[in-house]
Amino acid sequence: MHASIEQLIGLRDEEPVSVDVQQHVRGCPQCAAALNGLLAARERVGGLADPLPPPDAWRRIVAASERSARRRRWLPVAGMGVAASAAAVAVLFMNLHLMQPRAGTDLAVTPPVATKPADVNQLMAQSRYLERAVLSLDGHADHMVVSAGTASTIAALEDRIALVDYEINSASGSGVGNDDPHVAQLWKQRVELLQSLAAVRYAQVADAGI
Amino acid sequence: MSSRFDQSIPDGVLERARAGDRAAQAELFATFGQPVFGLARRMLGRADLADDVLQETFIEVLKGLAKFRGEAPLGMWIRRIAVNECLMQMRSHWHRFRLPLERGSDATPVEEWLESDEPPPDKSLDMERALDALPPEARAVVWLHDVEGYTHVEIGRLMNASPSYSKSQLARAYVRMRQWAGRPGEVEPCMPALNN
Repeated sequence: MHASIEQLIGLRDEEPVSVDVQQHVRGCPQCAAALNGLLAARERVGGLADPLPPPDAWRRIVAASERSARRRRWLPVAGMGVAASAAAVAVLFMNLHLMQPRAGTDLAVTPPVATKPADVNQLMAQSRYLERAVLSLDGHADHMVVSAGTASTIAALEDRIALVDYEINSASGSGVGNDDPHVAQLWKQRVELLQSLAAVRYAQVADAGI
Repeated sequence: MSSRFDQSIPDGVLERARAGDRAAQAELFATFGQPVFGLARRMLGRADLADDVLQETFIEVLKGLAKFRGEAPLGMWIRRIAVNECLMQMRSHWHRFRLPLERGSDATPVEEWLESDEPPPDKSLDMERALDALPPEARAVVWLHDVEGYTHVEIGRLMNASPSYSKSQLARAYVRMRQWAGRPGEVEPCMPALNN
């Protein structure tokens, strides 16, 4: 019987492996070849360079850090923190709705609209901002009593977001770049779904009287 | 194995950064920003998520500098924060579809490594893609173990799993990536089987 990959990785990493296995690998061209392949693979993975952070990353970190410090100074009461999150989402909504008017409140994804590749970075930034805003409410909203209808709406939205994520990931995995119109459309869908989810979450917090 | 976080900073920078000196804090970012972003990009497979991790990590670093006692090297402390931020991203319910968990624990036979029929792709470009195409936990295990030098025990602890889970994820990852790993050519038949 051949060595398992786990055993070969153990040998590769000089971890304790039984003498029988060591002897077998020494005498078995297939296992020895696989061991060499594993060594080469580790080299190749370790040789991947670290990508550079986005050029404006430090500026954003400083800004976020200062915001966070201000919040700690002015909002020491937990309940007020929730109120601030809710207010932030409300303001965000107003801004986003002003920027991108939408018809109706149903959950359907907006039909495809041509999206310029240059917009994708903006969509990604919007998506990140919305996601963080909604997540900041999630911890509090999760403790609240929710109607079956609301719970179902939230679950449906989260599932749709996850499916869009899956498609984005698949596209990225198959080498499709962000300049691809389909990828841009997926990011647009993600932003719209997050807007809807944030609306539901905001309504939840508002209904709770916070 | 040396970690990418194994970097030194000039004397006095840490103290000045602790005292709130933005220039010194920027110097810390200049030293450790790329390793944090690289770790997150490799573990999460997406630049936008890595950007989030980078931001959250450095906000935590700036908040926690005053409490950092220097019991571990600064880079290792920052790495720990970054790894935790990555794992939080992976556990987030937002990503449950695209981060499927693989809980298999059976030993992976070497035949799986050898029986690939796929043509070898352009190796100079595709190791990165192969890594990105792995399931998230397998990708994280590969990076933490083979690049950052975490042990299987440490990885198991981080992922609320056993060391054998980490070993199994690593093995499965390399089986998936075998066509990028330099497959051997024709091999001679194996010698008589031995028990493991």
